Amino acid sequence: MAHQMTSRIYIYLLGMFFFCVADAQEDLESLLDELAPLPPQEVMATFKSGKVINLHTNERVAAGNLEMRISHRFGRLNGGAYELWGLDQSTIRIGLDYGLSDRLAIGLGRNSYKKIYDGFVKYSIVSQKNNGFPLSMVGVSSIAINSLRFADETRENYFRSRLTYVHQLVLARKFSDRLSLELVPSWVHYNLVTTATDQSDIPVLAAGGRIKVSKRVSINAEYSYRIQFNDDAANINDFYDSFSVGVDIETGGHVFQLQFTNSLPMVEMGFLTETNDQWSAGGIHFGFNITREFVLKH
Amino acid sequence: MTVIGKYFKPKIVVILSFLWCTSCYYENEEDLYGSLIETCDLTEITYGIEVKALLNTHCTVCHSTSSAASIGANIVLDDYALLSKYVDNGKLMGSINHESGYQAMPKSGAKLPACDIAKVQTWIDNGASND
Repeated sequence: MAHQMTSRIYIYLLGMFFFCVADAQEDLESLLDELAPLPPQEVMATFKSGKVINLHTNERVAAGNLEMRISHRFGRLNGGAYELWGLDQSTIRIGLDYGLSDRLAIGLGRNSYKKIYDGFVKYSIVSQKNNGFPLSMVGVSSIAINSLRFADETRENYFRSRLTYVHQLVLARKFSDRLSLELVPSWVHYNLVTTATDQSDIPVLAAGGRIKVSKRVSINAEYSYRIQFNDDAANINDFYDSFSVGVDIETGGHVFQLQFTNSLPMVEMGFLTETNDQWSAGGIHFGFNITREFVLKH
Repeated sequence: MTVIGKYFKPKIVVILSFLWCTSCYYENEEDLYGSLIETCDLTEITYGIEVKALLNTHCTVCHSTSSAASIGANIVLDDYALLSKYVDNGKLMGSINHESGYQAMPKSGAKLPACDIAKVQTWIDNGASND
């Protein structure tokens, strides 16, 4: 008798439980519908690669991946047919980037320009989100080591004289599937300049963007503006602002970037502050970047 | 693992401090080594001593009798007679001054030091003799 009673109570309780759960679920669902149509989601693929052309984007190599980046810039287009419009000469940078975590990537490179070794750290501060933060912010710190023989080996030379630093803050926003823009305030510091009137510190305001024209192809452009404090600074007056336009073509694990630019160097301090050709004078160089990613760790 | 521990591993801190904490210097060559015009001695420039040494440092890695055919576009600069050809047609100065219409040299993209260019110019202005 007692046993039968207990069974009935159990069934009753079980029934109550299901009833309550169903009731509560309905309430939650209706609440979700009203308050939060979609949870904030990180915006992916603002750019196709880590560089617009020369300028860093907010994109980084994924954790555990190694990316090889080979970049070439050829001679001036106005070299004419004899130089095959510049294709007879080339300047090169070979670089390896590695993702330490999803937020942090490091890179090393070697440039034929001034025989520079460069290294950088790229750290994601915050990412753009749908229904959330409107921008991606990424900090980039790079160092360039000029390894040319010292101009005068008889005088006392210092290793620190070879170093140039660049600090950048990439502010990028993907406006739509097709359009992404970025603003990159940068700071270039030279440990050694030639004359007392030269600027050791050169702030640069750079901007870049891309428009996708198909699923695999986009058109990119970038420009950097150097800020001058001293009208006599020869290390600003002797150079020009960098301007580049190019195309990104994505094929499987590769991204091909083809471009026209007035900058020969591909390292940050080089194209930001040592561009010595002018678009209006025909000082345009054809070039390309090729990247290939390898998965080292899952 | 804490949030801080997740992103600030010791090796990362080492790398970051390498980049950010290496001290910055504000130096210029004038103050370190004296005025470039004062230290650049242009009084006695001869082919045998200054010009040859300078060409050996900057040019003949590619432009020597032995290497020019393969990597130096057949332009030989370690022989006075052959060098004279490029002095006379202006290509030597055009290239090292990075003038438009000439091949910018050296190919690394950076110009020779101003004092070296001044030495070559002075030698040419004095008649570019084989002394």
